[in-house]
Amino acid sequence: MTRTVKEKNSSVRTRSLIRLFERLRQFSTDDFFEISSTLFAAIVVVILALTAVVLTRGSIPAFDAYGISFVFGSDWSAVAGREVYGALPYILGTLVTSAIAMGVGVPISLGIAIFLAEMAPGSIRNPLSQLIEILAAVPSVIYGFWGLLVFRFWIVDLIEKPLSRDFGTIAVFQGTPFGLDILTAGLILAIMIIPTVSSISKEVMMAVPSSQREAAYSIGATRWEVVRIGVLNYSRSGIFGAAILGLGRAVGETMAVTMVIGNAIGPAAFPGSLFQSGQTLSSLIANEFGEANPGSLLLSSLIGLGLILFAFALIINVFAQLMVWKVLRVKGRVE
Amino acid sequence: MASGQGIGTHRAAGISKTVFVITIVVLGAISGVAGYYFGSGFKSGSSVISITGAGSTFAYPIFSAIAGNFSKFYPNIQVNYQSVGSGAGIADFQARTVDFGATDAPLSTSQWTNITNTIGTPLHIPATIGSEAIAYNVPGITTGLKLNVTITAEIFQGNITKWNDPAIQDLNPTLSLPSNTIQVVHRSDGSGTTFIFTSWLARSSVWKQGASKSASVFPIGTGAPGNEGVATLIQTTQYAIGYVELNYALSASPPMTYAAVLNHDLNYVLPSLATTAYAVSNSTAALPPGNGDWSNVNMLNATGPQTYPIASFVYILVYQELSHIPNLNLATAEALVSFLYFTVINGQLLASGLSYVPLPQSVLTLDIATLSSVTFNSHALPP
Repeated sequence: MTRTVKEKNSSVRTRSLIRLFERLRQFSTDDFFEISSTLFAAIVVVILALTAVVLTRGSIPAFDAYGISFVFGSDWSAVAGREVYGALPYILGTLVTSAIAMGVGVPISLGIAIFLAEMAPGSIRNPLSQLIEILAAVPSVIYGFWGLLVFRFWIVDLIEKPLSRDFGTIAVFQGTPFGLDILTAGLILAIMIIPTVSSISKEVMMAVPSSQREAAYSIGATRWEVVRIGVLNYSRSGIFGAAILGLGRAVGETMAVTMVIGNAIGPAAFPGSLFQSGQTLSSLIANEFGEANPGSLLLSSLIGLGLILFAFALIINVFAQLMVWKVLRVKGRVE
Repeated sequence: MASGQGIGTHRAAGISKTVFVITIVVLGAISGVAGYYFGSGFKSGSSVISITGAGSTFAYPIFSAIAGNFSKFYPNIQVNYQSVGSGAGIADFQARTVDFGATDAPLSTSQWTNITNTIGTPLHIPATIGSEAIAYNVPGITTGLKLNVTITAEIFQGNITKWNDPAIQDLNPTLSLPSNTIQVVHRSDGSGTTFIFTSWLARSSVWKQGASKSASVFPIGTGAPGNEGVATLIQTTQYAIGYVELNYALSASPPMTYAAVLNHDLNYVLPSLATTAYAVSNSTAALPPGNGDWSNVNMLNATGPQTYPIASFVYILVYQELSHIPNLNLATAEALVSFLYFTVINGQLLASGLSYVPLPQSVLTLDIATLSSVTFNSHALPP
């Protein structure tokens, strides 16, 4: 009796084993490919979620201690006994430097992209595109060094001194120009986002079907009108995406900014004038992190800055996505 | 049919290519891994001992020189020193992830008590001496600027903003100071250098900011990362003033100009290896034993006619009982102690060549006494 049960059991086991082998035998490369790529895609979600969790958990002590004034406060002191941390000057510093970078860098990048995509012959386009891509690969510390030792003096002599002399009474041009300030940081960032924005914009414009251009030419458009109506209009969501990628780099850039922005701290870091030392979220994290003791309020506050920076990145991307959708929807209705 | 065959052969070729590539990659990985293990095996035998330390960036040049020299005498001992900053050095020491720490400022009383109670007695071993020059860049004034602690504090606090302020001019009646705005330069990163400098400023009653490693201690000014960042910024910015470690000021090219500072005996003294050494030799009487609380030790404003007032030790931190460090075996403990003896004794020979101040005899004696108290599982370790 027991024996038959055992035999039955063993035969069931054998059968299920056979079925399993059958399954495995049918388990094709396609299945493997599907499962592994799903896993890799899941890693992105996991990393993002873990980052958010770690940043939030790490910054809880800072938010507990200062509440909302951690975000809107302007004092920052790590001196024992007088500790206070407020992030507002660095939030504004990040916004202002990124705005300068976008304001200067995006038009230049568009010019480069239009030239490469629409005007340059292949013999110029290819080498120049390569050069721009190499520019994107230059490490940011090199830009920082060049900014500190060379570029800064050009800005002082060619831009800041004349502006300070003629318009020194206007608030944004006040202060002694000496080059380590918000303007220099913004312009270095502009240079750093040009390769990204221009090479992606170029690709987007090159992807515009030539029927668009031909249609514009056929109704008698000039070269500029062809670019404007046929190309820019068609590719604007892509160009917008390129600009947002540039903004992402400008907001997060640390090393080059730290070297040229002057690293002011506390209320002195409010970006009141272009010619005044400032500080961004990422440069302050880089500056203070090395000497922040584990478990200290300073460390928690720095992680809090990281959380704000993370939120910035999310907001920028969501906003960008909304804009792209809007552009696409409007276009859909028109067409 | 023909095209089907064509695709078939094409695929077969593709697969064999894939197999080929995979084989190459796997072989490469295997040989790499094998090379890693056997290579290190051949290089070292089984007896390579590695010692790790972390901390002070200021001490990095001399520690790396000492470590290089040490490996000539002890080829089987490898010393890794990571210059991560004094605060991180203390944190790593406390977390016991390194064998020794190095810091520009001694452990605070609370840190010292905490480590003593939770882990074991930490030892302070002064390894070298740092001092800070107040460097400036004023066109036409290449030498001779005099400063005292009160006026320096006022400058770094933003109370004095022009070079020809009467307070500065009174100290320097022979100099024709310009009316330009003073550009204050300080460290932007947290630093033991800033701690020592602000500790000195705090000797003045006008300095309201306290002493701190953080750049946030300065209400004004421009921050630059690292000693070299501050030095570069001062050299390239007219009307700038800032503080740098003496060895950066001495070895800078082009040369930096720095101020003579009023000392305890009311003389104006320029920073140099000699005037810094006086600060140490005139304050060793009060040093605590190596296993004591060093939080009050400093050589600021030490006595003596030619003593430079802004000086401090760089300390090596090590546990008195080395078995507190997890996975540390006897051989590593012996190697660590040999390295520390070497640093304290032979390291001084390298010091002046690198613009560091050698330790005076009295401190050497104290260091050796401290080192001889180091144990492993309660057994003394020979030099």
